[in-house]
Amino acid sequence: MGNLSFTRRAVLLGGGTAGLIGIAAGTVRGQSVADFKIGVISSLTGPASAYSKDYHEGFVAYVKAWNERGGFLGRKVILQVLDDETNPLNAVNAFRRLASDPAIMMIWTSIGSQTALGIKAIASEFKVPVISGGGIDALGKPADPWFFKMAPGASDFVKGLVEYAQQRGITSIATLNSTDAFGQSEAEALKGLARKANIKLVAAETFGTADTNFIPQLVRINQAKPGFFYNGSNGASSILIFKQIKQLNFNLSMAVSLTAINAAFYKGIGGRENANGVLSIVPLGAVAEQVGGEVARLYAECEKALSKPPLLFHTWGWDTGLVAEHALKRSDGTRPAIRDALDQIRDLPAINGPLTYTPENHIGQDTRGLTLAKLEDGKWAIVR
Amino acid sequence: MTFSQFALPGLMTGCIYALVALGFVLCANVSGVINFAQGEFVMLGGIVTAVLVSAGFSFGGACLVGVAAGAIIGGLQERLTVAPARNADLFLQATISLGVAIVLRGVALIAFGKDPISMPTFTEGVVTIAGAVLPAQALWVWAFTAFLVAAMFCSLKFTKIGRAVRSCSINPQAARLMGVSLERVTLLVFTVSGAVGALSGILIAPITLALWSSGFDFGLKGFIAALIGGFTSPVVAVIGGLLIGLLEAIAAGYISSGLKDIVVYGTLLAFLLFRGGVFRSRSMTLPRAKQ
Repeated sequence: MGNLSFTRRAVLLGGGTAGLIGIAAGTVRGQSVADFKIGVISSLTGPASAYSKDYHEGFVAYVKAWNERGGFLGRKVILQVLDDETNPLNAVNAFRRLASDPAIMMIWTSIGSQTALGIKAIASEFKVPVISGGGIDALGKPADPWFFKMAPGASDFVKGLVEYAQQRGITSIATLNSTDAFGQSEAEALKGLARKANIKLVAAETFGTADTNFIPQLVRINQAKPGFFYNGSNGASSILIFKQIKQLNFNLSMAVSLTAINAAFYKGIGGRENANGVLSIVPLGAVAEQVGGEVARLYAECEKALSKPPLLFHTWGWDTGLVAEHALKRSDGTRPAIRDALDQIRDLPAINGPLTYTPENHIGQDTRGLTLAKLEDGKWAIVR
Repeated sequence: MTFSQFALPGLMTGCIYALVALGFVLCANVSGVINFAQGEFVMLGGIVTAVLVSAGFSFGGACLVGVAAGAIIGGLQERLTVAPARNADLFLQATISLGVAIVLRGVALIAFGKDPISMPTFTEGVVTIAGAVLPAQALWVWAFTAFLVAAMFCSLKFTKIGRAVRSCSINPQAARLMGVSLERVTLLVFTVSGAVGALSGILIAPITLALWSSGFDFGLKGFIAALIGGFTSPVVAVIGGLLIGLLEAIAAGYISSGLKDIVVYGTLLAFLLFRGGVFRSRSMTLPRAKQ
C-alpha cells in the first residue's frame, strides 16, 4: 500500500512538472507560440531620433491596425524593438542579436544611411529579410539578396531637381553638400544627372557637418552665378547657411534638402514665414491630402491608426508595414519565402508612391513617389 | 571684396580659437595639465545662455548665468579631477580632462537636447568692412576678445595674483616657498579659464547657434593654436588662434571648402615636424613637467 501511494505521488508530481515545463517552453516572455515576431532596430535616442521616432511610431501604428484586422493568418504580430542610440556599432550588434533569434522572420529598421550600410554588409550572413530606412542609393543598388530599402534613393530626389531645372530652361546649377556618405551620394548623383541633361554644374561646394562658417562656399557659389542652387544641408548647417545667405543678401534661387525642414529649422531662422517660397523635392507622404486617390486613402488609414496627423517619417513607417504584410500574405512566413515574395513586388500602392523590388534593384520607391513643392507657412504646397 | 569677405569671418572664429588657446596655455602652465575640456566651456556658455534667453530670462541675466556656469564647472573640474590627480602621470591627467570633456558633452546632450538653439545677436543687422558683409555681432566678438586678452595680460603682468600665477608656472616649488598656494592658484586659473571659455561661447553662439556638439571643434582648433605657442607663450597662442581662423577661411575660399581642414591640420603636422618632432631644434615640454 505504501508503495502504491509513493507511485501515485510520483506520477502526480512528475506529470505536474512536465506540464509546467511544457507551458514554459511554449511561452516566451509572455507571448504565445502563435505570435509572429518582427525585429525592429530604431534610433529612439541620439541625434537620429528626430526622424527615427516618427518612423518607429509608423511601424507601431501599422502593426496595431494589422492586428485589429486579424494579424498574420490569425497570429498576432509583435515587434521586438532594440534602440541603437544612433550608434552604428550598437545597430550592428542589435541586428546580430535579432537575426540570431530563429523566431524572428524579418527585421525593420528606421535608422540612418551610414548605419544601414553596416547592416546591409552582414544581412546575407544571417539570411533574414530586412526592410530598411535610409536615403542613399547604395542601400538598394547593388542589391543584397536580403536587404530591401524603402524610400527613394538620393538620386531619385536629385532627378526631380534636374527635371525641374530642365522644365524651366535653367542651364546651370550649383550645389552645396556635406562630406558624409549621404551628402556625397547626392552630389555624385546630381553631377551625373546634370551632365546627361546638358546642365552645367558651375559650383560643387562641400562642408563638414560641424562647420559654422559657410561664407567662403556661398561666396564662390554666388560668384558662379548659377541659374539654380541646391542646398543639401540639414540640422544646424541648414539654419546657418540660410541665415548667412540672408546676411550676405545673395539672391539665389534655392531648393533645400527635405531633411532640413523641421521645427528646429523654423525656430532657427526666426519663424516659418521666413522659409516661404523655399523649394524642395518631397515625397508624396508630405502632401498626401493634396495628391488624393490611393495616396490620400492610405494616409487617412495611417492617421486613424496614429490618432494624429502623420508626419512624413510616420508615413514611411506605415509603408514598411504595408510592404511586409503584402509579402507575408504571399509567403509561408519563413525567411526565404518572405524574401522571395518581396522580390516579386511590383507597383504596390503606398503612401509615398508605388513600390517595386527586383532582384537587381532593392530600392522600393522611385521618382513616382516624389513631387516638387514649396513651403507656405510651414506646409508644403505642390508646385504644379 | 572677396579676400576681405573670406578673411574677416575667419578672424572672427579665430578670436574664439584664440581665447580657447589662452585657456589651454594658462591651465597647462600652472597645473601641467592639457585641459581637453576647454572647448566644452565654449559650448556650455553658449548653450546655457541660449536656453535661458529662449525661456524668457533677461539677456544680461542669462549671459551672467552662462559665464557663472563656465566658472563653476571649471572650478569643480579642478577640485574633483585635477587636484586629486596632481601627482599622477601627465598622460593620466590629460586623459582625465578628456573624460571631463566627454561627460560635459553627454550632459549637455541630455539636458538641452540634440537640436541647435538660436540666440539673438547683441546687435541686429550687418556691417560692411572693406567690402565684406559681416554680422554686427562680429564687432562684439573682436571687441570682447581684445578686452579679455588685454585684461589677461595686464593682470598677469601687473597684479599680485598675476605674479602668483606666473610664479607657479615658472617654478612651483619656489612659489610655494614664497607663500603662494599652488592649489588656490590652480583653482583660480581653471575657474577663470572656464569663465573666459563660456564668455567666448556666448559671443559666438548668435552666429554659430548653440549646440551640444559645438565644443569639440573649438577645442581642437584652440589646442592647435596652443600647441603652436608651445603651451608656454600666451601671446603666440592667441596669434596662433587668429591665424588658424584666417587660414581656414582663406583655404575654403581660395583652394577648396573640402580641403580647409587638411590645410589646418597640415599646418599642425608641419609645425610638429619642424618644431618639436623629426626636425626639432629643441625639445618642447610643459613647464610644470620639468619640476
